[in-house]
Amino acid sequence: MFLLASMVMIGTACKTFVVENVNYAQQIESVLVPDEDGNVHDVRHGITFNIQPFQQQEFGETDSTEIKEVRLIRNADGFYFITADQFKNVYVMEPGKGKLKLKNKIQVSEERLNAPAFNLRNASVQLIKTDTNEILTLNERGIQENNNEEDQS
Amino acid sequence: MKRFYKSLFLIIGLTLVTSNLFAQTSDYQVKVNFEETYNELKASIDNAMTVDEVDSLSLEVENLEQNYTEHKQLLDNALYPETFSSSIEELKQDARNTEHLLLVIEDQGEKLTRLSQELSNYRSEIANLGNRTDSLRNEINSSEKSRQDLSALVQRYRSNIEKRDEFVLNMIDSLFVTYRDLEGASFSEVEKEAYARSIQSGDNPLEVIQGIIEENIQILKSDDGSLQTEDHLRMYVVQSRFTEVWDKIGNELADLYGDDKSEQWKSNIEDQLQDWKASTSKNMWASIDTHLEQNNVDLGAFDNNESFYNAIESFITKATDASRDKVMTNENYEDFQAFYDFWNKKIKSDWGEFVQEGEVLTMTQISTIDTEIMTWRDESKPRSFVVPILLGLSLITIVGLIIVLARKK
Repeated sequence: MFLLASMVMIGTACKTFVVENVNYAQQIESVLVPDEDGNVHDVRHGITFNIQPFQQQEFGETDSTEIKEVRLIRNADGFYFITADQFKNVYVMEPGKGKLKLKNKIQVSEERLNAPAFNLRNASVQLIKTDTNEILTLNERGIQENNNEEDQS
Repeated sequence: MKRFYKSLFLIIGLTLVTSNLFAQTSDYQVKVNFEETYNELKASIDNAMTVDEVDSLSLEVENLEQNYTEHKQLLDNALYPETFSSSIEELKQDARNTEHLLLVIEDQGEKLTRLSQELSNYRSEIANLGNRTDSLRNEINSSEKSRQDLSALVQRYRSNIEKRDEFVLNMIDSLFVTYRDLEGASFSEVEKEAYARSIQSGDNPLEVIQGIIEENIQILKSDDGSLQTEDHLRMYVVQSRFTEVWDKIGNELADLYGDDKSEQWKSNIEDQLQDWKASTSKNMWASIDTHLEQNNVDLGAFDNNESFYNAIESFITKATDASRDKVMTNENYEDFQAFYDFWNKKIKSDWGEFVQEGEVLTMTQISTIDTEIMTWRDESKPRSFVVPILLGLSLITIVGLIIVLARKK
């Protein structure tokens, strides 16, 4: 009886052990080149996934547009922001157990993006359209307002 | 000139990259640009060929540092586990190391250039002496001149060879001193390239060395008896010294000047040195033997240091024993005197310098023989019988006087 009570107490203690104020932010975006199977590996930040689902989302099942580089950055809350050249959207992905689950699909352009890039400024993710020097500040819910202020800090 | 343009393009590239930074807002691109410039600068520093080039590249490193200081925090993250400061410091350290190496190379290059000029002078002087020697030998061979004139020709011939040997010794000493200073330096490809530039065509020390050995072998093989024992002893010393220096610096010389055939050069020169040594040695020992025969000293056979020493020792021991048996004759003392003259006037005096330098006999051997010669002298000296006879006569006189005095009483 005593043993059972102890186990229940320990189990309860484990479930409630939480570390607060974790910052998942990646200070600089990762630019990843897919292998022949579409897998990308971010060795430094320790994530591997396949880009074909993004390709199908962006270009449809039949389009065979080749993705040469994937750009990836993680914000302070732990969401991954993923885009690539020729995309119109930024995909906000929430990490799960062995998966990335779509949190939001943010349309950032009517036209296909040309050489996009992510920066992290003041814990927010910025999408840079390098061809037009346009900056969009993003969070997991979408595009934030006052996004044209260029932050050089 | 090619390198100058490369450096110029690098500077222009750096300026463009720097000016683009203000339009470019991607952190990742900042990192990529920094890394590209860093790698280009590092490669240029590693391949720099002059101190001026390194100085110019050091300024570019400072510019890179200034231009990217505002991105220090970004680069500290992006370059992990390196940092912006450690990357810049690495470039600066590289530049300092390369500059130091190039200064050493330039200094060594100057030494080698001086040596190359010296070699060139020696080479032409040795060639001149060689030509004069050849023509004198031809003149001697075809001479129908009087005995006195012929003797003068032979004397000039020997004098020329002596001068030539002196030049060869000076040259080999210069080579040794220069390369001894370079000893311990491990020669990189850059250094080898720099050294190779310092020699002019035809002044390759390996060619000069090979030429000298060939000429010496030729002189020895064509000797018709004009050369005397001291000439052969001197040539033996030159050969020994030459081989000794080659053993010390031959590898470095072959590596530096042999291009991709350094092993072949080394092997050829070592074969020639063996040939030279065999010829010099044979001529020298034969010449000493002839000299002894002409002076009625028969030491028996010898053809190297050890057998020569043993022959002398054995000769003295036998002569000393013989002297003990024949106390009443002057003959042994005359034998002693002949050998004593050879030993003191030739081995220790006229040939002494070469005997010691060429280790024909070592100082210990000379000293041992000196002691044995003293014993032989004591044994071979004819003993005088005047004193014993006088003593006997005195004794008889005294006894006679005593008897006379006793009878008177």
